[in-house]
Amino acid sequence: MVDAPAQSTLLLERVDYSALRNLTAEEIAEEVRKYAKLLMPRAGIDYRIHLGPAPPLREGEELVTRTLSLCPHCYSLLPATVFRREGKVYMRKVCPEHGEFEELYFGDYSTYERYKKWQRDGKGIWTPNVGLTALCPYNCGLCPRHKSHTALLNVAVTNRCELRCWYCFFYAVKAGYVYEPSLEHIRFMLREAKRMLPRGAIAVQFTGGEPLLRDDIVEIVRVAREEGYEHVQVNTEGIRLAFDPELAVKLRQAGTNTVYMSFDGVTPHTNPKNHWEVPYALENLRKAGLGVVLVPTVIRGYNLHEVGAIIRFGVKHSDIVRGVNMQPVSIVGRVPRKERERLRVTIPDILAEVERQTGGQIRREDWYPVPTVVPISRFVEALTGRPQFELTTHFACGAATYVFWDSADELIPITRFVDVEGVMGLLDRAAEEIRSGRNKYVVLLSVLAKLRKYVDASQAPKKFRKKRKFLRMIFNILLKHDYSALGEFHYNALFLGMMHFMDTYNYDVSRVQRCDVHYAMPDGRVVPFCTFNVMPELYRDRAQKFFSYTIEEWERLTGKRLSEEVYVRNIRKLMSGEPYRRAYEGIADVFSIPYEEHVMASKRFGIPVVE
Amino acid sequence: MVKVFSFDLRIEDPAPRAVRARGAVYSPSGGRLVRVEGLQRQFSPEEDALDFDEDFGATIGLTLADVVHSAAWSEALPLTVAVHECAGPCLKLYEIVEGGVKRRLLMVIGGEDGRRYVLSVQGGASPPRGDLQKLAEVVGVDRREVEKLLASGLESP
Repeated sequence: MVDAPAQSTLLLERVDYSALRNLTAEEIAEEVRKYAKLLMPRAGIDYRIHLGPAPPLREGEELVTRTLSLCPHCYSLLPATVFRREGKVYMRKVCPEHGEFEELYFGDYSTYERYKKWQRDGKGIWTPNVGLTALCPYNCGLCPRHKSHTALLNVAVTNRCELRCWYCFFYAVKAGYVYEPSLEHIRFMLREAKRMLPRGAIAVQFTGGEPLLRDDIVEIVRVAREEGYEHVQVNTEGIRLAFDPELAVKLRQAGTNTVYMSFDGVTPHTNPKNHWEVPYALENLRKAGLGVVLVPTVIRGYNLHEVGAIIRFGVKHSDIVRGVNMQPVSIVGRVPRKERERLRVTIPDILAEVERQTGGQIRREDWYPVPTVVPISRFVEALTGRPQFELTTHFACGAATYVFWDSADELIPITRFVDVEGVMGLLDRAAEEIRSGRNKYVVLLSVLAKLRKYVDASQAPKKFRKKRKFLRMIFNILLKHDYSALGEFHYNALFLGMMHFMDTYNYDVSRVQRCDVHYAMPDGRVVPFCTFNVMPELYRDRAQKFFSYTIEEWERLTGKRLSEEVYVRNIRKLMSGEPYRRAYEGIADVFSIPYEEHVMASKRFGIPVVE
Repeated sequence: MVKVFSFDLRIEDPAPRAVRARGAVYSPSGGRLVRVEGLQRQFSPEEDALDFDEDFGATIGLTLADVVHSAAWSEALPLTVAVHECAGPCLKLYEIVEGGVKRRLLMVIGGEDGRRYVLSVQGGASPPRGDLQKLAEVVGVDRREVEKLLASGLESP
């Protein structure tokens, strides 16, 4: 059907994807799996191993730990020293060829220590997709040494994009090929991740490029539902949603749970990507009843000063905004140290800013690292006897909290009325009791009785005080341990999260081994986010190019012109609409910014404007 | 060449672990499993890391990346390697203690099918007879020989 696999990817850079596009998922499986080995990173060509002693400490530095990292220039595996200096955590490594690299790892040592206490490791992967042929992270994946199952599966459905952001080299026009797996190919990828043990993927995010550029995106969502995915989200810049109200309805009807929408700030300066379109996208999502998570990429000196306003924006639109998930910048490419120091922000830095910008309403102690919730999974697992979905990612990868409110200017983090540590300790002990043979129903009753001790209803938002609504919600999660119980919890709160994806400068192999945000690869592999995107030449670009169309092929097949897929913004029109005014009212005085500055912000970012 | 790793690891970051592992290699001789003596040397990351991950990555979730964390308190990686020469299929036995819990790993290597068989036995549990039978077949001894080895552990001659 297609060209036979060559001995090396150097000899065969791409299959004839036109020959694959009409195959069934089963036929695709047969065809593509054989390429996985060829597409793996090659020792001595793509990377080297330099495992000498880790760099020594210097005056004023205290050892935190040692780990493995990468050379930002040649991807070689290097030992790294993680150390504490002036209250912050840094990483240092030395590449024999490219010299020393020092990077801020975590902006506050006390938060590092507090978060470390919550680390829980997963059960590993019982059905790895690849054998052990190389050291981590050149063996993805998932390989037998990976520690966490997939919590969120990303599937890139296209590399086309209608934006031309100045920093992006990923989209089809720049890449020189179109990666667009067929519907059946996507089905195959979904199946590969779903069949994994001890827990297959149940949540998927369709991403790109811009996934909404695909004419069959609704059908793709439907396929995910057919394949048994319980949570489906679409990652978008929201521009199509702003102009096509029907699209939001169709996505919702097909089974989309959430739209994951880029939102970097509340002004044109901080969010030139979609500042003008977001109000309309929210309006259409609202009409469709489709929830959205706002996703700001946070950069020092750029939008760090707006994290409080972004949260207030989320609260203002909480009828449709389910969460705000901030992503501290991942610095791609080769960036000089001074420039990195200017941009770099880590989780504790954002926590401190959130505290400052919310006037202390959301304090840094209100946030917990992602694996904090593992005791819930372990308790349910002890009750049911079945491996549960658990978030065992590295403690430095993410943090979260929930906020509630009686009025928009008084935010109440969950920690004000729930003793999180008490509840998790209770569940940990209960799981242990069940495991050591105590009757699970007796333990469950005892947990339900004791839970009250850890919830101070008098401090809860008013809506939860009536009839012990909050306690009932927690009971439902523990008793039903199903998705709807969790959904009820989410619909009554604003989720605040952070996910710090790594780059080559702060890369920590310990983190990537615990990663639970994965990508489905077109050859059937499943790869952690921070190998897929941090070493794109070894994973993302290599695989996508391999299974791509040439631009000419794609244009011939679709009758479209790639160069014509460029979004041109009509700022005047967008600003004149009522949704725009309403969206930012009380959050940012966007009308005090001269029109010319709006235009300039958009153009500087790379998005042309109709004038 | 069959490698056996020995170590006493104490890791504090990112999660605390204290693991002790000792192992030995047995090969069939006259229908019995006989211990093979190995040549001890220091762990070399370049030569041994992948084999270490293969033995412990999937079985007890311990990899080179974890070991490096334990080295925070010393200069060299705290692992020793014993290299054994086996002509045919052989059986590797590890006794591992972590958090007061003992676990035995039985690995059969070098069978005709080229596959690697691993059996993990926690505490005093008895593994399924069928699994033991399979290991015994691949290594070419009677099942009771494997049971005997499992019962006496690394004390076996």
